[in-house]
Amino acid sequence: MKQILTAIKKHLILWGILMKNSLMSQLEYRVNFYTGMAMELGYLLAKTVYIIVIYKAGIPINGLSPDEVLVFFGTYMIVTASYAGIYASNFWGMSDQVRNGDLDLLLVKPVSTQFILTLKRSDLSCVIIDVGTGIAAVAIGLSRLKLSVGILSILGYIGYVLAGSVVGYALFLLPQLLTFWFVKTEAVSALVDSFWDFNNMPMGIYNRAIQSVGVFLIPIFVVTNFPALFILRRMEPLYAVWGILCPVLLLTLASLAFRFSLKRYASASS
Amino acid sequence: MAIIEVSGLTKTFEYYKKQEGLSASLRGLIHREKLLKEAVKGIDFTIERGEMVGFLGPNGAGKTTTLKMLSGILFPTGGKASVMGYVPWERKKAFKMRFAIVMGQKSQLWWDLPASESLALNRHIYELDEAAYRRSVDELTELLDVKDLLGVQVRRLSLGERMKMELIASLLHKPEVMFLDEPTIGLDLISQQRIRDFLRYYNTQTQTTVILTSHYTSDIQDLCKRTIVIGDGQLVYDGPLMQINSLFGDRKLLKISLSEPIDCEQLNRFGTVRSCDSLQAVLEVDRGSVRETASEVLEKLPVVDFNIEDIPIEEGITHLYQRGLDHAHT
Repeated sequence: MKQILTAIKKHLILWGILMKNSLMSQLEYRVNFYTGMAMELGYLLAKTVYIIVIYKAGIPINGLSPDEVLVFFGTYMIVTASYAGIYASNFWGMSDQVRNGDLDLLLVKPVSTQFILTLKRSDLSCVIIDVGTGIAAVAIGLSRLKLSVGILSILGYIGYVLAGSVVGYALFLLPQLLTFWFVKTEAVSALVDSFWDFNNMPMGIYNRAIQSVGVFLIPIFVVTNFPALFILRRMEPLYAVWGILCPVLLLTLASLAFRFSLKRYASASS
Repeated sequence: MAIIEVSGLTKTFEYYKKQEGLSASLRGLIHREKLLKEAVKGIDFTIERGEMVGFLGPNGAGKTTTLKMLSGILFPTGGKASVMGYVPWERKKAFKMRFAIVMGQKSQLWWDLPASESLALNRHIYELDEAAYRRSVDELTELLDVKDLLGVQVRRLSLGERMKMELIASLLHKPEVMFLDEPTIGLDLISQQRIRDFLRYYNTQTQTTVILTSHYTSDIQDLCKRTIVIGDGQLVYDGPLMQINSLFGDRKLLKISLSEPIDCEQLNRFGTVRSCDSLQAVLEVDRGSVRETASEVLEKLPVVDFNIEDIPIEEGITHLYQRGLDHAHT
């Protein structure tokens, strides 16, 4: 147990250093950094239009008031930021690392290869802006709803956000592993990425069958819907349990699949 | 006891061939004929602790593939290997903490940051305490004369400086075994020599076991008492580099300059004529009779200058490669 805790501590410290190094690398190129921030703000503005339309229409979406939809939207922003800013760029680059043999030097490091390959690079500037906006949206939505939110609700919400982020990580990592078989898989990445937008709207807009598939079979709705359902006190008990179990099961599955796939790694000629 | 033991190590890669043209590419969408390439064909060797062994071989001979299997990057198709008692491809953390690999064509440094940031990251990866880390960095940067460059962005460093930083990053944790895959590739002669001097010094001081692959014979000649030559995935020679030529007969080269033109036919009686342009000639003669042949040449021909040299080691190596290929094709 002590060994596991030591390993977790080591990897957390390393993650912090990797994030710091990524940020420092970005700051080396000022114009690119500012442009990236401007692009992120543009993306936020586009998303805000979507919220304005919902408020202007003023009609509930499948029983959810615009304020509740705002909470869903804010949660979507927060978890999407972790996806886009922390692991998506690593996923997108995985195919190149396998094709060019750049994975070689990561494989020999005494750390988890999955960890270093999937979390090496990050884009914290994007995370900060999106998480900030997401938190603001959730806070505004909750205050307009006049829901009393205690410390336990906030901790539970953070817990489901983290769980959702883990589910997103594992769920979207699995298809990327095809790169160990087929090497160049950018098209797979693009296809899989488009599935993320299933979370754009509350899962209540889909029929029961799609909801069940999206919760239990391909748990895409666990990623951003569950935290919002929890804080809005609309979460069914089964979902509450599944929201805790799902990240554990999926992360274990992704980890096993990663180890299995890694055996296929053929490097590249030097 | 041997620190590296390799027995019957084999690696086969799958690949496919594509005919020229778009129609072949379109056909490839439906069907591809799978072919197998045996990159390493059952090689055996052992290496003792502290040895510095050179791996020589032409492109595609299987040198790098062997190193990648010994460092756990690749799974072998067959055979066994043990490095410090570990099976490399089990990729155990304890094993990874005790070896290092440097690849001349790949970098572990963060391109946009000063090398010091990559070194600091390695400090945590290899769980070094601050004092030991500082000591290692000070010692290695001093030895390689790059102390002042620690704060310079890696992409601004020259190739030679970058390779020195790569070496430092790989040696921070004081590995017991080092795999060096063409560490001097692309470097100018001075940088090559500096890297070689450093490696020799480091090996003497620390008794680190080193396997070095290089296309530059001088790297191996300078550093390694023992050379393993791989040709077409097979081990074709294992022994001192300087003895390779003796495998093909103990011969010497007699280089002569003449004061007046001669008929090249005249030279045949002294030995095998390698080249002759009437005023310059190179003769290949038996080592045992070189003294007599030289006196006879001096006596019979208008010689103004002469030299007796060993046959270049590269020639012996080329013969070995060819032998490996011939063996593979029979």
